[in-house]
Amino acid sequence: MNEPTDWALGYAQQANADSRAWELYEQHPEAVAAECHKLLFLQMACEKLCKAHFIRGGTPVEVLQSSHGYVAKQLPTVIKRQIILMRQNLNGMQGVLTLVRRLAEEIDVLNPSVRRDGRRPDNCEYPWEAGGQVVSPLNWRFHPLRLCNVPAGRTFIKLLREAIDRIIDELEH
Amino acid sequence: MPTKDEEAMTLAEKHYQIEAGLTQIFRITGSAEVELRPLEPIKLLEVNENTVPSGIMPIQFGPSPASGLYYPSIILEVTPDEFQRIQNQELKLPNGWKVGDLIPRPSTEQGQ
Repeated sequence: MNEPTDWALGYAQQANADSRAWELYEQHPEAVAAECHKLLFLQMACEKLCKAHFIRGGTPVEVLQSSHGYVAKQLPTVIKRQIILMRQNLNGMQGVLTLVRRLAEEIDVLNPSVRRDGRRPDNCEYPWEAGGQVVSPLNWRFHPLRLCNVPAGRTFIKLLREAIDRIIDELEH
Repeated sequence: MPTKDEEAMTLAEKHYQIEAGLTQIFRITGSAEVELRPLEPIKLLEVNENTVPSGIMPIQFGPSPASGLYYPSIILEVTPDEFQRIQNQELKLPNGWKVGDLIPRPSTEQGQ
């Protein structure tokens, strides 16, 4: 029987791999077929990072293996900790965290299983119907990508990388 | 090195400073025996009007002595409505935890 720490590390390592894929797409945009593919890796990295922290907090892994939609709630808490660890001066960080909350809600709905009672069928994997037409993720302009490119969004991406590195380091030692 | 109580206060103050929606932060306490263990995490219940409801799902962080955090910590963030349901015992905290003392927002923050 594996320990929760083993599971948490497994999720954190997978979050790391997903995040690296996002970073590679950032460096080599020509390799991306569409925005949705890039965002898929960001969504998966955030979800697995949150799940790794949940497992450490005592949530049974079985609860998390087939459920989604944790990013909106928990990613801001994870990023808040990273801000406190890495920034002596917290001035300006309230704005970053406010953006992270908005972004986390948008990242959550990128997962096709998170539909907000049918109000948000847009996702980065499968086509959906809107206004009587089938909409493909390939042609959709995703809000999170725009948020990631404002200054606070770029700070978020750095904090996300640091948070993933930190949890892996903590779990490995 | 700060005591666990001192570090809990510091952590809460920083959270108040950077979270506009935080209305209250409480300590969460386990049994007296558990709380005496040196490695028992600091546990904070944060009532946040900007978060989304999802029930009781605590997350844990390790210590980071290099950054001045010497103890592990557990953060449980809830909406005001979820907090009310905890108070009414419609929502239960795990592990026999109880809602402990309020850590008030620092006075320097109150005017913001």
